[in-house]
Amino acid sequence: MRVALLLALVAGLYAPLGGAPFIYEDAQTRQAATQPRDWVPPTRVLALETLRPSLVSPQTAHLGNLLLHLANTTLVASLGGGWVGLVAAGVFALHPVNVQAVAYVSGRADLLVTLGLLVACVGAWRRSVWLAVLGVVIGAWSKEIGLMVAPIALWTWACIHGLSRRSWSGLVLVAVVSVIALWPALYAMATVNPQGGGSPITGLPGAWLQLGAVASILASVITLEGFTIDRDPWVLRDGWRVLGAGLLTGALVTLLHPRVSTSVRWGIGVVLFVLGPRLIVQTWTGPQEHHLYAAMGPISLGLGAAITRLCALETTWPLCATTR
Amino acid sequence: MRTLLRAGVLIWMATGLFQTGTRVQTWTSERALWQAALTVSPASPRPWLNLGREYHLTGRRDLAQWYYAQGERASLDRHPLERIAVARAVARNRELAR
Repeated sequence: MRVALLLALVAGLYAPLGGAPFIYEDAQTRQAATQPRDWVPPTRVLALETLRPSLVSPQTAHLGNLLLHLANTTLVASLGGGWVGLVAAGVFALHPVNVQAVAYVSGRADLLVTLGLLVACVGAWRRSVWLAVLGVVIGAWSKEIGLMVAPIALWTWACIHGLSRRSWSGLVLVAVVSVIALWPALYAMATVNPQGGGSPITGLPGAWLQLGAVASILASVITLEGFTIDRDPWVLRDGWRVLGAGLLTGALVTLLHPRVSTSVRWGIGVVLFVLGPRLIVQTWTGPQEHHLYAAMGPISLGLGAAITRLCALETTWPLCATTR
Repeated sequence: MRTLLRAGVLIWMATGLFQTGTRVQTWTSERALWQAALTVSPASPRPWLNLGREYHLTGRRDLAQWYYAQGERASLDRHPLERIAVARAVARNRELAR
């Protein structure tokens, strides 16, 4: 009931988009769905097929995005459970940093990747292999970064239930086979040139530039300011890059600390899986707000757990209460 | 202390809700979107160019030229490849609006 009320509030808040036109690269995205081509990258199938011009007007496209956002919100609530889930779902659904993914029709792919990610996490948490596999397929067919849903599902399973040595060996084998099978797509991602949207600055200097952009977006989650369609990493000062390096170091140290709680380890791991590839595959414009949408799932759950604990609403979170 | 923190969380949530409402309104028109982007990052060429394109498409060519010039100026200290990309974008926008 409480989640239903939240979903109604979200729908009301996003209602003005019902009359919004296609914006910026939306027209190109829709055109890409009908262009004849020899080979459609499997990592774009779902996003392109659901945006075919014959199927969508601006209104239906915005409605589709909103419905995906509502589905993702429900999954966040389900992963959190009780008050933690409700507060986390509220943060996820109503946070201004997520507006771009929902309002921008071209952000559809990020909504789908997040749907896959959350379905896979719920599946891994509830020991449902089929649900986890469904999430992995949705993620991998939506966007290149969705390829990370498979390791995230395994990470979730390992964090919550643990994995035997035999299972680890099997998973490593599956990972190696997957990398070989997906090598053309992975290679194309890693070597994208500036004309194709890649950054002219690559390697460590490029990663340094991207670190600042990631830190700037993550800071806006807390400071609630500076939201823009144009997050330009080139105009950021060095302080942002130092902060980014500090955040990355802190995340890695926390991850490796033996006494860190399951939920914190899980959350940091998922955020690193989602944002880490951006430091390797460097784009010209750097990470934008809709790229943070998938990472906002675990971030919202962490904030939800902290807020409910502070307000003494709930002191446990089913995910961290699960024992191996 | 705890009460203060709780009040802080409430204020943070209310601010977030207000910001979300404002952001949703911004996304209902291309001009409002790039105008908001310009406020946040005036040193970036993209908002200037896209606002210029928007004015060009609605027939305000004089204003569009001014925005294009600002965009090109913002790209002067950028990587040479980005300066080329900006020049190409301006040419493409002018072609599009012809």
